[in-house]
Amino acid sequence: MRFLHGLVEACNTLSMSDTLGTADSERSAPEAVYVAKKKHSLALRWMHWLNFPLLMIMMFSGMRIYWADLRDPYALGIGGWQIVEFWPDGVNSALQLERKLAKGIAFHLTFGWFFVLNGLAYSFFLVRRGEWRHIVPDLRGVRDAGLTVAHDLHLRKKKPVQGKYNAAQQLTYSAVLVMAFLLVASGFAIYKPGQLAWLEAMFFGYDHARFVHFSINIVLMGFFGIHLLQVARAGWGNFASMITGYRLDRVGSDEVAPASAFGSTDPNGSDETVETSSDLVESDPAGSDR
Amino acid sequence: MIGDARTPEEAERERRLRALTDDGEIITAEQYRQRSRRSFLGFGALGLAGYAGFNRLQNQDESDRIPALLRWGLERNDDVWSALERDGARARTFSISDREDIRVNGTIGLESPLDDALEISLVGVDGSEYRTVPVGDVRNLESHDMVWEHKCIEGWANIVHWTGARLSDFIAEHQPDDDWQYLSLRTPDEEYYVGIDRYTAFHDQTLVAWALNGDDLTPDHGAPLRLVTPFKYGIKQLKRIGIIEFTNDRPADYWFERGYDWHASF
Repeated sequence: MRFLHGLVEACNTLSMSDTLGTADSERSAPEAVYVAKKKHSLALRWMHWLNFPLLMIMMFSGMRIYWADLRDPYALGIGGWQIVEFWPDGVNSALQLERKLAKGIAFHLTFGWFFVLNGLAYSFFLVRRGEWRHIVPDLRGVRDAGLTVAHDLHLRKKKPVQGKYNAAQQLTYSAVLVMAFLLVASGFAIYKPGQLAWLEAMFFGYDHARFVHFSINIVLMGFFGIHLLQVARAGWGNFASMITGYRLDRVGSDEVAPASAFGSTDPNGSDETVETSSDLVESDPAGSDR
Repeated sequence: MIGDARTPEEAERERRLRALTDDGEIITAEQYRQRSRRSFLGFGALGLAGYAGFNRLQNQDESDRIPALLRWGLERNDDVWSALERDGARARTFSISDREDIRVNGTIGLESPLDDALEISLVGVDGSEYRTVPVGDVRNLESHDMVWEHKCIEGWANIVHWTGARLSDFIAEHQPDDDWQYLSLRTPDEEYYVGIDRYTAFHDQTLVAWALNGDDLTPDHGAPLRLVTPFKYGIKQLKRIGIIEFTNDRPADYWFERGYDWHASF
C-alpha cells in the first residue's frame, strides 16, 4: 500500500506540479519542509541495476545448462544426499529450457564475464569508498538482525539502531556478497576443471562444485524474492532512491537528516547555496490550493 | 529517536552508525524534482535500450547455430584459455578401483554395421588418402592405462578407465611428410566428425583406446577404436575412428556446427 501511495506521490512530483503529496500531506504540519538527501552514489546505482539483467540472464541460461542432463543430476555423485526434483518437469517445459544447451552455454559464458566484472567493480568500490562499513555488520549487528526481522514481522515495537542499512540488511547483503563470490568460484571450477584443477579440488570435486553452484543459485533466487517483497514494503521513496540517488523526506525525519545538518552547501557548485531552512520552504504541501 | 542505548558504549555505537550516513548531500525538493525526472527518464531510456539490444542479440544472424555475438564470445573465451594453457599439464588421474560405469550417450555415426576388417584411412594435407592402417595394428603400439573423470557437456561425469595407445605414438608412425596443424577424425560413414589441434593430438594422455573399464569396447562405446582425451568433453571423443585427416585448416566439427565451441575444452 505504501508503495502504491508513493507511486501516486511520485507521479505528482514528476509532473512538476507545485504540490508534493495528496492525502498524506494534508495531515502533516503546515511547516513541513521537504528536502532530499543523497543515499546512493551513481556508481552504486549503476552496478545495482546492471546486476539485475545480468543475474536474470545468468540464471536463465544456467537453468538451460542444468536441464541438459535430463536425469535428476543430484541423484548422482554426492554420496547419500539426494535432492529430489528442484522443479517439476512442467516448469522445465513451460520455460522452454529443453534442448537449449548450446545457447545456454553461449549466453552463460559470454555474460558471465560481465557479471564478474560488475562484481569486481563493486568489491573495489566497497573497499575504495569505505562503503563496506555500510554492509558489514558488527557483532551487535548480527544480534540485531534477528530483532530487525522481529520488528518487520510486527513482533517487536522497537527498531534497533541502524546506519544506512538495518542489521538484517547488512547481514543479508554481506551474505549475498560472499555467495556471489562462491558462485563465481564454483562456476569457474565447473567451467575449467581441467585447467583450474586446483579450484575444482577446493570444492571437493566436479559434482560438488556443481552442487554448490546450483544451491547458491536457489538461495539467491530466494533472496531476490524477499528483496522484491521488502522493496515493495519499504515504499516508493526507497525504491526511487535507487534510481535517483536521493531520498525525499520531511526535514527532521530519520530518513533525511536533523535540521542541524542544514549548513551544507550544494556540491554541484550551482549558484544557490542552501543556507537556512527558509530557503527550502517552497514546497509546502498543505499551503497549496488543492 | 529510534535509539535505545542504555550504556555509553551503545550510545557511541549509535553515534558511529549515524555518522556513517550523515554525509549525504542535501538538496531542495525543487532540485530533487528536476534531478529525479532526469534520473527516471535516463533509467527508462537505458532499460529500453537494454531490452532492445537483448532482443536484437537473440534475433541476430546465427553463426553455426548461435547468435554471432555469442559465437564471438565463445571464441574470445577460447583465446583466453588457450593463452593460459600450460604445456605439459596433465589431467588428474584416479586409481582403477575408482572407476564407474558410464552410459552410452550418443550413437551418431555408428548406425552402419561394424566392419570387422575395418582399416583406418589416413588422409594427407592434400586431401587424398595416402595409407590405410588395419585397426588391429594399433594394439602393437605401447599400451597405456588412463583413469580420469570423463565429463559430458550436459553436466554429468564418471571416472572411467581407458586402455589404448598414445595418439602421439600412432602419429609418429603414420603421419605424412607435410606440416600439419590439426587432425580431423571421422567415423567410417562420416556422419560424426571432430577436429582437434596439434597440441591435443600430441598430449601424452590422448589415446586411441580399444578398451573401457578393462573390457574391449562395445560397438555403442566406439569399437573398435575411439579417441579419448582428458581435457575435452565427451563430444570430442570420437567413437569408431574410420578416417584421420591431417590438415592445416581448422576442421569441421559436428557439435561446433550445432552451436558449441570448437575446442570444447575444460
